[in-house]
Amino acid sequence: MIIGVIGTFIAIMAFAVLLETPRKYLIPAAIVGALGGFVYLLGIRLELDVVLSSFLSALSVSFLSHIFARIYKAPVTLFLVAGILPTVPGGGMYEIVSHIIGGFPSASIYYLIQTLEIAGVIALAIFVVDSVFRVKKNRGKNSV
Amino acid sequence: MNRQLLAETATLAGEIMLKSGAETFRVEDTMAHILRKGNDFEVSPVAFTTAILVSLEDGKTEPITIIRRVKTGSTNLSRIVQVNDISRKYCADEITLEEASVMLKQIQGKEYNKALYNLATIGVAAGFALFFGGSHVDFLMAVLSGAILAMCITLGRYLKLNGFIQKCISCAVMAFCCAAADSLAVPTMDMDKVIISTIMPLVPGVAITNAVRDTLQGDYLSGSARVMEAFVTAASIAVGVGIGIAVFRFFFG
Repeated sequence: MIIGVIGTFIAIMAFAVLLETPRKYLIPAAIVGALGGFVYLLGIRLELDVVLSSFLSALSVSFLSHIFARIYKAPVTLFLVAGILPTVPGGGMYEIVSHIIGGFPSASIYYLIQTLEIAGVIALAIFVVDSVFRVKKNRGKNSV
Repeated sequence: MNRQLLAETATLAGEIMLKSGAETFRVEDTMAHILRKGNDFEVSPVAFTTAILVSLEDGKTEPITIIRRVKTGSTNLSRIVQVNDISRKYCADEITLEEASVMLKQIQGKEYNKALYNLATIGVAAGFALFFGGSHVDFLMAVLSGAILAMCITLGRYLKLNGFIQKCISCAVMAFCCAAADSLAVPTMDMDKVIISTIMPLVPGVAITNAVRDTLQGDYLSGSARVMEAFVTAASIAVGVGIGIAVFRFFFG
């Protein structure tokens, strides 16, 4: 599992380069990604459902992205877009096609639904954390 | 206050951000911040995923309106950060409008060179091979197939293919090579893991995130456009991988 987390760290740092992230934000972005990978792998190891693991992973990634955005005074996107990648259901997309080719359409439909579910929970996780931070921000404004 | 320059600067800032893949609400927000500095006008900045509209009216003179069609390029977070900094400085009165305009025009395109870019594609594939629990054989094969993918993408850019075709063909070539390696050369590799790792640099993570954040802001038009973008990208990858494996199985399997 440690190797997996290190792998995510490398992968997300490289992906941040693909997104032309400024150099000084590469490491924080990779840390966000590694956290996402860690939570996901932990969920799988604890035998949680793939969808639930993805949700927890996306939740922790968006939470840490918001924290980092405030620490570094930079847009949230910078950390969120790269960090969310381990959760994005690339595997599901592949399984859909590979089962269609292999002649198992029913298995393919199972993976289609799972992929849509994962995409949905990623959306939900970002939505929840964004809303929480927005409430905090708006309350802050009112009290000043 | 030079109204014309104000409108042009705001439009330029918005254009750079939209081109670089910022969320639509952020583009509108930044333009509104810049425009509000001229506080005696009614301002209405609007951004779609493909166009920007800016209008300034003060009720006395002819209103200024700028409409600009924006062609979205590849995601470039560096430019978004730079525009963000300039707009913050301008709004905090640290720089004048003229300085802000000049600084926006000088924003650099690329943060990294092409070699590093290709190396990063390989890095993503290799890193994800470890994440998905691949063996050392899978890791090496992911490096190789990542290199093939990077080569195809570079070639596609050189030929100026559109995004869908470029992703589709790159994935097809990559999947074909993986299938060939699996059944002819390296039977110990886990083909599924290698292919999944290698498609990760192309998956529509940016589109999904932007779709959610735009929708959350109540911008359903841009939100649904981004969802569509995510679906099309996912479909192009899936179709490409499918074609690659199917062609191999048809001729050799």
